[in-house]
Amino acid sequence: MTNIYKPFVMEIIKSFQETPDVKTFRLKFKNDEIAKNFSFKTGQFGEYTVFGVGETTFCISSSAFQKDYIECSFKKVGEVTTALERLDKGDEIGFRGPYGNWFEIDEWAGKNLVFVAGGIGLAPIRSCFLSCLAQREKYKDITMIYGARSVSDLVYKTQLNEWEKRDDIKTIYTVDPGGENSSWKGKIGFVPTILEKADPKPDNTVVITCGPPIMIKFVLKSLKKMNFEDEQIITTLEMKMKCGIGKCGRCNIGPYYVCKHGPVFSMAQIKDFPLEY
Amino acid sequence: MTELFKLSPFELNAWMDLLIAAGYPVFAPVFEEGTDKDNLYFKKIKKWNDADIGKLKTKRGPKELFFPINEDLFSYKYNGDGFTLEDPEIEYEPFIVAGLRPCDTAGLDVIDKLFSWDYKDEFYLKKREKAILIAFTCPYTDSSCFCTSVLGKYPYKDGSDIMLTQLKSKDYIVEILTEKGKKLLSHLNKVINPASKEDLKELKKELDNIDKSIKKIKIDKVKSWLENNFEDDYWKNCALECLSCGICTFVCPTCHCFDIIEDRNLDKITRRRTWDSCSFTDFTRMKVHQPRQEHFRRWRQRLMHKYYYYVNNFEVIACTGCGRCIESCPVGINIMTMLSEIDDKGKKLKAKA
Ligand SMILES: Cc1cc2nc3c(=O)[nH]c(=O)nc-3n(C[C@H](O)[C@H](O)[C@H](O)COP(=O)(O)OP(=O)(O)OC[C@H]3O[C@@H](n4cnc5c(N)ncnc54)[C@H](O)[C@@H]3O)c2cc1C
Ligand code: SF4
Ligand code: SF4
Ligand code: FES
Repeated sequence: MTNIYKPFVMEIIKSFQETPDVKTFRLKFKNDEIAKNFSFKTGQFGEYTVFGVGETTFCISSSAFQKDYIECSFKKVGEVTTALERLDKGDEIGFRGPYGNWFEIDEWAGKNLVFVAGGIGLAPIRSCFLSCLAQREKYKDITMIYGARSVSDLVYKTQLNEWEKRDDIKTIYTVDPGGENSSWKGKIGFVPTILEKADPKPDNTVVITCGPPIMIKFVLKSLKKMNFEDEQIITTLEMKMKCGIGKCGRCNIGPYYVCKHGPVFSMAQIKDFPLEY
Repeated sequence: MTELFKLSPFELNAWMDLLIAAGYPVFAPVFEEGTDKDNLYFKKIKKWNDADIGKLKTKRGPKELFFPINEDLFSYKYNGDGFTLEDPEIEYEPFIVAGLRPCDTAGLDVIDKLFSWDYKDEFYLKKREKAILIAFTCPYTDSSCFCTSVLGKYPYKDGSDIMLTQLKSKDYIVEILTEKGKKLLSHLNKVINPASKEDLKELKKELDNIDKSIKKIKIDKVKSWLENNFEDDYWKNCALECLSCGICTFVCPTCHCFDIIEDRNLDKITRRRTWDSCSFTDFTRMKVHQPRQEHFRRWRQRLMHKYYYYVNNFEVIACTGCGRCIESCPVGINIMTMLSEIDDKGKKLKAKA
């Protein structure tokens, strides 16, 4: 039978502690046939099984053009993520996916891209950002604005440094006031403030933003001030999930199932959503 | 296709027993031993005499035959080297469900859409494919029935393979509605008597009488009001007595939400789905956030899901008007009353505009 609930086994081939409570796993399918046939679009998510414990939802945080492996980054918050955090290189987990919709990166050809991420919100943004960089020539200016509570809360530090060195993209990193340390060379300030200072122009531009709800709220206010239209602003939403495939009835916001119609939405869509998420 | 013929109760009995003898598992309403004697459930029967088709409704409807309260999805174990996963062993064989009411089959038609939405849920769909549904029109109706307001003129026929109606004479008019249903005729050990003109007249009268006995409510303005009034104060004052017990969702033939859990055994772990309810406080609880903390939000979700969200996604209302939630609610919350109130609001809105 085709069992839509049964995951495939993957091996953790690399494990990296990003921050005290965020970890990244690089994963490879145990079965070569499945590995060969697997592909996903940037923005999609998966259901990850910790054998013996349960299942949980994360986006795929690696580039959609990376065919050898996928990566996920997760924050330790509850039962499954705590058990997952104890696993390491060589351990096996289960994976079902890819699920949900995606960032329409090909539709953005010829446009300027502004990425605005906060905290672990960089996980979905990174997949999108890396996928766009893989076809850099398609876009005009690319800007990455990323902030975290403190220096130790910044994820993907090695990559942040690599991106900073590139001259075909602009990077702005910031930490909340009080979160800096003596060696911090980036900005100090909340993401929306830094965004306003960077002052990207709305003409021919798409903004992709992910982060804690409170950050998103103020980022939206700032973008409004700078005359961005709702249609130009893309984000992802979270709701509690179980099945990830539109069956268990858990993840809806109004008539929209985050697992089927999302997780990627434009602000023009979200504006009409009932406020219950 | 429709073919009509007539059977005496005695012949019906013999036909059903022959189907059982031919090896068909037959499920029908029976009293569950050890529970309240009023409660009927769909159970496998050994002979037709064990079925009770004289009472109007089973406690929970037939959905659990296709979407069991607990269902194994797969199991896995560690073999010293890695994990191996196994599908549950299920043999999908043809089976018969007899003694359904028209609204019961309507409920299945509703959740078919969900389980075949994009990702095909074979656990459910394979059982559906194998099932042959023999519906019996209602011997009487009760004050909680409002099926015709949702499903249209009585009886809803689309979901049944065969439909039987008992006439005053006690004989049954049998309507063969599908090829699947027709197949069962070969097990009928007699010459088939086509229904006469008189019989058909009586059938129509019988069905019209049932239709007339069912309470009619207006629901045509419900959806448009729901679409525009998520934040209305109506919600804050509705269903205040609700205990969040979830019974209304468990007895509902169209409620389909489930949880996915791990059943840990020493040698083998099983991943299982188990019925869940949007009435439960933990349904949408995440570590840092619970968007439906207050219970009115959960009742709003229940009604919105049935009469607005589901309609948007699947073009059908996720309610059959069976009235089970009304009968089973321990504090007397009545969806029929709520729908009428909402429809009234919808009308007033229209009038103003
Ligand atoms: C589309 C999507 C993408 C996500 N991507 C990421 C990511 O890349 N990195 C990351 O750290 N987190 C991500 N999350 C949030 C992540 O799913 C939860 O933090 C995680 O499920 C918590 O699981 P837990 O068992 O540790 O927590 P518990 O609170 O113990 O959760 C129990 C169950 O509730 C569900 N659940 C709880 N919280 C959430 C939540 N916020 N969202 C969805 N389901 C939840 C899970 O199914 C879990 O099995 C994402 C959520 C969604 C919906
Ligand atoms: S049965 Fe009644 S009390 Fe229980 S959850 Fe439903 S409405 Fe609330
Ligand atoms: S909501 Fe109530 S009346 Fe409607 S189908 Fe469910 S149990 Fe029956
Ligand atoms: S997560 Fe199950 S319906 Fe969306």
